Amino acid sequence: MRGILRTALLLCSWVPLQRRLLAIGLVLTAVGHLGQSKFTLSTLALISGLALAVLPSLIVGGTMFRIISAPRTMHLAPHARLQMLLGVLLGLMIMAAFFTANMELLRLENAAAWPAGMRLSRIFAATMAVETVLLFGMFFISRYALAVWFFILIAQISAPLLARLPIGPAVASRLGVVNVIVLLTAGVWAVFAAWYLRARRIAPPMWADASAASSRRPATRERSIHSSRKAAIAIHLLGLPSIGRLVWRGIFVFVVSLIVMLTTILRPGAMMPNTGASFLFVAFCLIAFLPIVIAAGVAHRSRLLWIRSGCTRKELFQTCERLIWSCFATIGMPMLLLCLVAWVFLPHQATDWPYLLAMTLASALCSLYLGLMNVAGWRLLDVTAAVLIVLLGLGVIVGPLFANAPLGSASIVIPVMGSLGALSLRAIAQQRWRRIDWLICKPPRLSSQALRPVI
Amino acid sequence: MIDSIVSARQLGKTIKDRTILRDISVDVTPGNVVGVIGKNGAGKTTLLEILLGFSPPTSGNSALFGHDSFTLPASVKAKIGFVPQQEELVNPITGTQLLLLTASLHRHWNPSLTSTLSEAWEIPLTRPIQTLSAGERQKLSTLLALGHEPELLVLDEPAASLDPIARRQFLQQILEIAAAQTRTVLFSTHIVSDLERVANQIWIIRHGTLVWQGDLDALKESVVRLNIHARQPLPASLGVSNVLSCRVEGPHATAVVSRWDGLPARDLEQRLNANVEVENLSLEDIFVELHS
Amino acid sequence: MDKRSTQSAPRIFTLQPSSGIPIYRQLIDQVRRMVASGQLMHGTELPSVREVAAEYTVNPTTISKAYGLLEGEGLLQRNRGKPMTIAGVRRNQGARPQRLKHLEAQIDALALAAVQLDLQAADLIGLIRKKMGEGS
Repeated sequence: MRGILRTALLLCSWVPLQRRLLAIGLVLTAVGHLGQSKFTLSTLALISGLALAVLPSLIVGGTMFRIISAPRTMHLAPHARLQMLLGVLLGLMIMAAFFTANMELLRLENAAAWPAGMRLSRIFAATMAVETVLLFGMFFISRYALAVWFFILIAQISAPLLARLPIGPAVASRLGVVNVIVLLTAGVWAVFAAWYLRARRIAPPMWADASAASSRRPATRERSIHSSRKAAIAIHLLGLPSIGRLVWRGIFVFVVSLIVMLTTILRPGAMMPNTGASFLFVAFCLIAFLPIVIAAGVAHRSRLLWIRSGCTRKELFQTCERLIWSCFATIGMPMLLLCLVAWVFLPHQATDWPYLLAMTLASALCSLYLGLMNVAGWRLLDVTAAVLIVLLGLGVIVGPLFANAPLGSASIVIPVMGSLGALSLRAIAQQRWRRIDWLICKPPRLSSQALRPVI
Repeated sequence: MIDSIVSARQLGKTIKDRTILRDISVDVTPGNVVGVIGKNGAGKTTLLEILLGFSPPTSGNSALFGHDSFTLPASVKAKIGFVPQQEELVNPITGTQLLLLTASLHRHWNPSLTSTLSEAWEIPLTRPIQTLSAGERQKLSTLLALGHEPELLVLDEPAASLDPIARRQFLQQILEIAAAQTRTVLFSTHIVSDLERVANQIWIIRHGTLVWQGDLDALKESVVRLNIHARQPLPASLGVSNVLSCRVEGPHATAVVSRWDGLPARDLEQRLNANVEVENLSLEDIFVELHS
Repeated sequence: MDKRSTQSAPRIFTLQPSSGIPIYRQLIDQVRRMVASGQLMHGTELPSVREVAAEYTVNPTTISKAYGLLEGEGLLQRNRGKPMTIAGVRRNQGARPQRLKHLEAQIDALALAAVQLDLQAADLIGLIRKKMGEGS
């Protein structure tokens, strides 16, 4: 019993960053509630607050679930996995209940803004469904990073497909949409539980798995590598044999995106008015937030070069910056080309291509320097910058893409401000790198603390 | 006065309200093999990494080859070889490739040394590093730091995953380095018996402070166990200075003292009217006594 | 120096790094004993510092310290370019009390053991005489 409660609690408080975002989210939610009918942005504040409070836990939760299931002792302890599974379920239900309660409060405060016919049960069911998808999605993505594209592919293909099945709408109208969602969610949980409780080995995330047994099949042919000083530095920082390896991964992503796009183009009847917009949204988000992943990885590996390469801290900063830029350019270029093609061929209502491009690049710049800056743990400044980048970045991309609202002068002001923001983040990063402390900034590795059995 | 290669003055390090190191002052002159021992969490890794400039000290300063550790120039770094506790290898490539890469980062590299050692130590170099066992990875990690024949070799728990034969080979290599009087080795380890073989200087760290810094031989000669046998019950306080631990049971007593210089034995025998047997302790026993 | 020949040569000393007695002191005591008992004759070549260090996997500094101290005592002789040798034992090497002092530690141990075994000094002296070949 205690294991269930402990796991549910852990879902919301695994990482210090999560707890801080939860706190900020709760504050924003409270502000949103109190400000109803007093100022116009209160609903926005409420929604953002709820998102901040709940989303990080779901995204981290999937990875955390995998990490705590990984230790082999978990397999041996009786009912350990069952307790963890139930604990996660309980945690999700608590979060869904929290969200639903807030929505109910909103309805009571501001009846005018409430769409008709929206019942609590529907909200709860929908929330549980979304949470389930996110959690299990992250669970699998944390092991197989490219599974993210698998999920998007499935979503893009299956949505129009379901709509065309003769059974679908009939079943939905007979049983009611809510019940269908509940059944589907319960079905997914049942399948997952059947696998999870019986699986012989649940591997930890790729970046934490140090065991030789997990290594991918050894290369039968030794790929040759460049052995210049520049190549040596790049390989140490990336942890990969070449930038080319990274480009190959990017090209894989590119190809899968192309397939996704083609599947939607080639069945014109299934295309919904905003297919293009949703595709662009995902693509832009990826471009905007990809740099932070590369930057954080490179920054944390910089430690390897302190003694070996003889570079000073300043030189290391410049080297890392250049490397991240070249990685971003090699992967980002094909993605942008793809976006351009999608813009031309897929149906959407957006009009301002230059603005969207500028905003995406500005967000990418900001997240690049946020990643470089994040070498001293997640301080208040880092958390604030991250929250701003995510919320504003998403906001200013979503608006013009879906709502087709004319922007006027904002279309120039916002990207410029975004770029200025990126420059100031760069200045902060430079200053932090002058005193970078590699006792704190290490390549991510699961400490024995993290791998301690939860039950 | 020979210039010290590694020096620190009143070094202190605090991370998030936890004081890891307190007032540490050390000096290492060339040609020595210094062993650092301490319990887990005593601060060994922190000390070594601050000395090498990975982290700024909260107080005090440290210098390598006369230069401040935090801002070491490239010329000094070329003289240093470091084997970290958590290995920093590039997993998807092979050992040969990593050796090539490391060679291109250094101006001076001895390929025949690395090939001889990799054969003698039986490190598979043609498989991707991620397929190597923990011991092989540790050996490769050590090899990477030896290739450029550094003047100062710093190792953090270099033998934790090695089997006894590999450990013996590793120690022999350290001794070959030490035999050239100009090169220095500084390593931290739990395996006390290894230190007794190869080290001639010992640092003992307890709760972030240096409890002993000096000759291993002097340490062994100064910490002794006194076995006292009398014909009459002994007093509870034996009147011996620098006592680390003491146990009195009737006419028999055992006391462990530090800073023993041999002379007081006769006086003690006369004063207590007893037989005093002086027993020398191994490094492991000394370590245990210093922590009791 | 041929490494092979050193490795096949029998070990002269018994060094225990994990003992409470420092290695250099063990070496000194052993050389002294072996010289006194005649195991090491005048002129015998001792292995070099490097050879001993490599053979026993110990730090060469401690070996050279031992050799240095033995040379200071007059037991060893340094020959330029050649390995160290046992110096000739001069008959009048200091006064008798001084020479006796070398054996004092061993006599302490002997006396203690005798007391524990309830033996008299006379018993011991008789045995010593016999061992040293001075008649019964």
